[in-house]
Amino acid sequence: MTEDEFDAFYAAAFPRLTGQLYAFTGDHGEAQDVVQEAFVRAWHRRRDFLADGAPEAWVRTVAMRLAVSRWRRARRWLELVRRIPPPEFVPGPDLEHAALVTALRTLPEAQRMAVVLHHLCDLSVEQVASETGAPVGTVKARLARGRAALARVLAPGEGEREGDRVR
Amino acid sequence: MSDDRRYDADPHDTGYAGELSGALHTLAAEHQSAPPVPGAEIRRLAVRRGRRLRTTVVVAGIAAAAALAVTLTAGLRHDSGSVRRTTPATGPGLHPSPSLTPTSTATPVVADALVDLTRMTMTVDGRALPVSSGVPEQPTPTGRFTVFGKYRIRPLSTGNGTGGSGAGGAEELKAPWVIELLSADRKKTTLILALTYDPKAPGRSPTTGGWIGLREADAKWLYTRLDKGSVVLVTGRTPTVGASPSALS
Repeated sequence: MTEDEFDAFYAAAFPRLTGQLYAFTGDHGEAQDVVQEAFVRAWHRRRDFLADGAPEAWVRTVAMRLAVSRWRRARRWLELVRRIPPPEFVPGPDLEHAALVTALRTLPEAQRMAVVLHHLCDLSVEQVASETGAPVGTVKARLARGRAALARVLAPGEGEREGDRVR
Repeated sequence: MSDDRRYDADPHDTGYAGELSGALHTLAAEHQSAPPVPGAEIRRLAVRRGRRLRTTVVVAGIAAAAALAVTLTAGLRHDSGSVRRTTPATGPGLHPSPSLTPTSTATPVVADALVDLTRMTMTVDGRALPVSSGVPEQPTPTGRFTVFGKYRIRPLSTGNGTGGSGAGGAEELKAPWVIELLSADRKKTTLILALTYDPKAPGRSPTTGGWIGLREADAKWLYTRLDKGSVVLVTGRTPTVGASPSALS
């Protein structure tokens, strides 16, 4: 990959990845940070990253892992310092999306990652399994639980999301 | 659209699954952000990191970092073992890079912990912890490892490494604060653990069955420092000093 090709890849993939990481982290700045860091690593280790044949997936994987452990550390720190759970989510203008993001943040990390990879990044269950190092059955269970939890927050199957406040 | 996302686990709510996918896609699409810096800057950061042995460079601090690079380059060299953990390591599942394939500019030391078997130390976050490694007959494997498991207490009989020959009777031993390591090529495993059965060994002599033994307080501290996916670099050779005289391999 030449420098120009990398730059083009970066310019094209960065927005998409930050969107996906936002869904995972619920934090815009955090999403940007981890995606950017992942790209730095991608160039730094471009041989591995090219050998893989799926550069965007490689970057996403790195970014997700960064997000996981950042989040973990932040949570630990907050628990220590404030003895309360993670920071408040500041709702955006869009109530439905605010509810979705809030709901996602309540999911255990493994479920959240499975849901995001499968339903947003369009990975198959098997791909999610190999990505997260969990058995297929476990991934299915995480997806089912994650979806059930989200369904409790988001009005399920109603199909009328426009202008309709979700619970 | 939701066809390929269906699976047999719960056929009754594929409609909801499709809707969830749609909502997530919309959410992600609305929160895309343009690259804050150009690709050239990313490449520059990567190269700089390789050259400077990965000190902490936050993008916001580029200017400061540039100044530091000029003034501190020499001073940073000894710091390579104590890479601060701004960012976690890429984990083992990451279509791994079996061999170390550094960029051409330098050999980066990207590790959360550095174990030097020769000096019998482990360097983490600037702290040097004394370690006791495997006896010459069962040397601690070297190379690049990632953390793939953590146990507050773990029986050693089930581990790889067939027992601490320095302690004997490993079947009955349990060690606290155990961190499992898997090599980058996924062929070797070892453990970092608290050497409760031989607290004087760390820093003095190799006593384990191929593990990395720490004093209990150090092991407990380390346990909070390394997460799954953290990178541990094991270098050096098992010292023959203090080892059993029959085995000078």
